[in-house]
Amino acid sequence: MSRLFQLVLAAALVATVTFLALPVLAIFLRVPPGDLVAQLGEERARNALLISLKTSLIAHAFILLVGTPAAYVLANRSFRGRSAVVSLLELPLVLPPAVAGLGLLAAFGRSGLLGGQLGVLGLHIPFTQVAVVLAVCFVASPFYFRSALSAFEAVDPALLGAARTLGAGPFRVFRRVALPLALPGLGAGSTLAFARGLGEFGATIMFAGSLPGRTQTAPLAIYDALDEEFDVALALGALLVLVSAALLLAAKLVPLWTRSNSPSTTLSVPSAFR
Amino acid sequence: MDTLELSLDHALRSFRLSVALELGRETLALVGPSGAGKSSVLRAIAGLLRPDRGRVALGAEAWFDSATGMHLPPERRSVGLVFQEYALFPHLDVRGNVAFGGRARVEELLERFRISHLAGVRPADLSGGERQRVALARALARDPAVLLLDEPLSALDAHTRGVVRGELAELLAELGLPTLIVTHDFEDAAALADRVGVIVEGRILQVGAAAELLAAPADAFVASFTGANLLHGIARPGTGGLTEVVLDTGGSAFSTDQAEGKVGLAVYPWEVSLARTAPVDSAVNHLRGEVRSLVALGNRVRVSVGPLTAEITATSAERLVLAEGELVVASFKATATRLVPLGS
Repeated sequence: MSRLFQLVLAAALVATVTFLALPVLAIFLRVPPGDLVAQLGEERARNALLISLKTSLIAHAFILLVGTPAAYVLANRSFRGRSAVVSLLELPLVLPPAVAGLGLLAAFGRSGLLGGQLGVLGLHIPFTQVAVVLAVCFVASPFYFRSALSAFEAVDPALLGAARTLGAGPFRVFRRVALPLALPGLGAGSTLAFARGLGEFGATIMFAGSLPGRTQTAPLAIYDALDEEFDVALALGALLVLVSAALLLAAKLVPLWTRSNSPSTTLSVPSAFR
Repeated sequence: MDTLELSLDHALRSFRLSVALELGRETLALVGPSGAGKSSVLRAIAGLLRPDRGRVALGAEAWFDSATGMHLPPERRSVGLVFQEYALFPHLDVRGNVAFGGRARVEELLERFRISHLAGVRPADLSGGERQRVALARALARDPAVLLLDEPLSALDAHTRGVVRGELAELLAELGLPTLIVTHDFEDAAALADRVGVIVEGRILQVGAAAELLAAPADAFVASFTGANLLHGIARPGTGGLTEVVLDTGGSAFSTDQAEGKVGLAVYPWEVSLARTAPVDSAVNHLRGEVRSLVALGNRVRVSVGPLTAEITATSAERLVLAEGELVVASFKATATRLVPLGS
């Protein structure tokens, strides 16, 4: 009986590894590596990569600049309805991307909630690169926020108090104590959010469309190239696999780089996914 | 040298913290059980807690005044606070920790606290005693006008504790700052402070020199907290001008204190002597009882006899061949007892 069980366990493991690794390997095995690199020189591929890089970086800058102080505030305050606020901020994690795109359209679209006001200002967001950035922010920021919140919560409040009594004002306490101690967690969350943003598809295609050279990011270009230029799709896919793998590795290594006595963080999927 | 004045009224979870103190160039220890509100007093002085009502002032400079709505942030109060577990910054080395409070005196302080050789070490790699010295150096780097110590010895093991206590007492005498210590250990308080205040559930029951508290505890709690035996009973006038206390546990004891009604009879363990048979001596009180436990403390032994604890020398314990379960007679003089009123 126990022998059979061992066999079942081994089979399950082999099946899991094979199933998850096969599609990734297939991308690389279909076309010789040299051809893959050449395909990336195609104008469509190049444009898509540039747009992806640009929008992801801008979105990521916003996520870090706004998400970090927001998480710090929330980590150090207790008030009624706090957990409701946290849950609300985690909602985009579990929201179907199509619904996220729909929501963004309903909020910022021409006939959306803020469409009128934005129109008066001469701003038309849908189907622009701004829309791409907003879509990425919406789906990716909770990954960072969740991680940053737990990283700041893990900082001993006595340390913040000690810093105050040693003459540091609130900003210096944040910069010299809270930020360095939360850094491993912030780094891991940042990497995850960036990876999620780079792969963003559903909300972007609904809210920003897939206009080559304007809003077509790499994942959208892959979808677009499937029919007539499968090799371009494969090349872009291979590149994204490499970037994602590098980001995953970074997220796992960031906590190890920092000294062993800072609060340890492991690569953790936001709680809504557990 | 300015005087620190404080009066606080603040609602804590299950009681009100209501404390008024004046602190000159001296060390005052607030001693009480955990959860008595001791740390809240320190936090209120440092500005980490804003009390509901009251006033905190150093000389003419008000730090907090609920009447005017004034509340200086912690970084603008001249306070050095040493946290219970020291709260050293784990990401900074010893020099970085000390320099956080002020760079001017770093080298001098590192030398003074004998931690120069540890300047590049992080707190995780320090021993308890070293951490305590770093915490003190850091708190002093800002040249505070008031020093606050939260359980400065409780994070140390028993061996280190004795040594550090002596060093700390010397340091405090040398600094001559108004210093407030909170601790749950009366012995620490007595060793470190000029005056000791006993605090329970947010109220200070009695303030005085440790010897005064021992000699004349204001109430039963203070008596038991200072380490006295407390025998409950009913007091009534006895023969020879003494007060007779009919003990709840049976028998009676005599005291030179005057009292009537429900009282606690306080007698310190070191005032109780033990014998195999009732001795013929000047002691008025002889209680016969079974030895319940024997605890050796270096050259002393604490012996529980019936409701009493006696502290005798190890040599005496050996001579008497004491063992658990044996009958002995515990003796103490009527003059060594204090009667404290008991709340009904």
